[in-house]
Amino acid sequence: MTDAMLSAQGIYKTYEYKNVLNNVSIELRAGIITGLIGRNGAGKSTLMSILAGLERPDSGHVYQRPEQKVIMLANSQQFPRYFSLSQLAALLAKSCRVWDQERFSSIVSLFKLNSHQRYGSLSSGEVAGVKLALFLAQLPNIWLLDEITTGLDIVAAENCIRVLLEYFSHDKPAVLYCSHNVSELEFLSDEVLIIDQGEIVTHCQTDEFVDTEIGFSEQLKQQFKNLEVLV
Amino acid sequence: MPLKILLVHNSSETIAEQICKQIELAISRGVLVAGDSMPSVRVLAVELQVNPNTVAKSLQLLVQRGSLVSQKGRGYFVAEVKQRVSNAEQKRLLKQAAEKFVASTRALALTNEELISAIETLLPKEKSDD
Repeated sequence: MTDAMLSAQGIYKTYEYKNVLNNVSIELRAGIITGLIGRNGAGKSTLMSILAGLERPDSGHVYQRPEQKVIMLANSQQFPRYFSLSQLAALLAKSCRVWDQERFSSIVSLFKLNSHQRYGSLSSGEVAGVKLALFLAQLPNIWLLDEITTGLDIVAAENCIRVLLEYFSHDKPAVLYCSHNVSELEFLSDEVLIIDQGEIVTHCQTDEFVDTEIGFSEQLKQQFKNLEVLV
Repeated sequence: MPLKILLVHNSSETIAEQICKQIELAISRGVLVAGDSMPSVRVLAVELQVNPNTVAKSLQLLVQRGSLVSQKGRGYFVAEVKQRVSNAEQKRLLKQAAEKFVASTRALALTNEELISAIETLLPKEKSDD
């Protein structure tokens, strides 16, 4: 069994009297993709922020194995629009101890981009590719991926997944993959975590989650409380 | 490699089972023949957009079932077709598979001919001297 690369125990977080995370525990292990799904506002992004070290929990404890680098890649992250791709690379290379320029160039050219293009001139699919390149070139060993294919067209999403899987096979990082795309979760995650109203309501191996009667999607939906269909 | 694996989301089968089944069908259709090397786990994972652990699990399952052989450092290869289980076990497994097939097609109200024809199309062509 692989040891935990990153784990959180008993995490509580409250914002302005709202209990966003309630006794959440999670463990990420090398070479394992842990899927995370929850409704909007369930606490996913807060949890990710805390795991990334960007925020502190009110109580509870995050443990990161020494010498491991945790980096978050989120849909919401943006870069200065007027920077060229090579300028962005240079910027990150300076601030990171480790930087693999070859990996960056390789991924950028996979997405058919050249390094003189300005970040602001890119389409969303191209932006996703660049962010992936900037992320992977930092050689993280703990990947926190927050809805990275949301909003991408079918081809761009596939390219992102293919690149991720290629480097996952090579690097064997611990991965937290947060997505609303249920088929991605079914295909990519070793285990699935469902978070609802600040609590982890389900944690199981993905193939144990398959139900012959109702299918993966319906199973997932049934885990959420207060499922109101409005029409 | 003309191996085409099509995976279905939200199915009653796990992804690993689907991969196993499709590789076995490819072998029985002759798309893959004994001695063929399988693509590496990494390549298959990227092509299918599936977790490499799942792909590895499928290939290992196929080794257990006797459809593939694993050569350390060289990868997975399609196994020679040879009887790897006892006659009694062979009969038992065949009966089990047949029962499953009959049970799952009962509700379709098909003729025996149609059912047999469905099986025949999946089987490799056999030489007439058996």
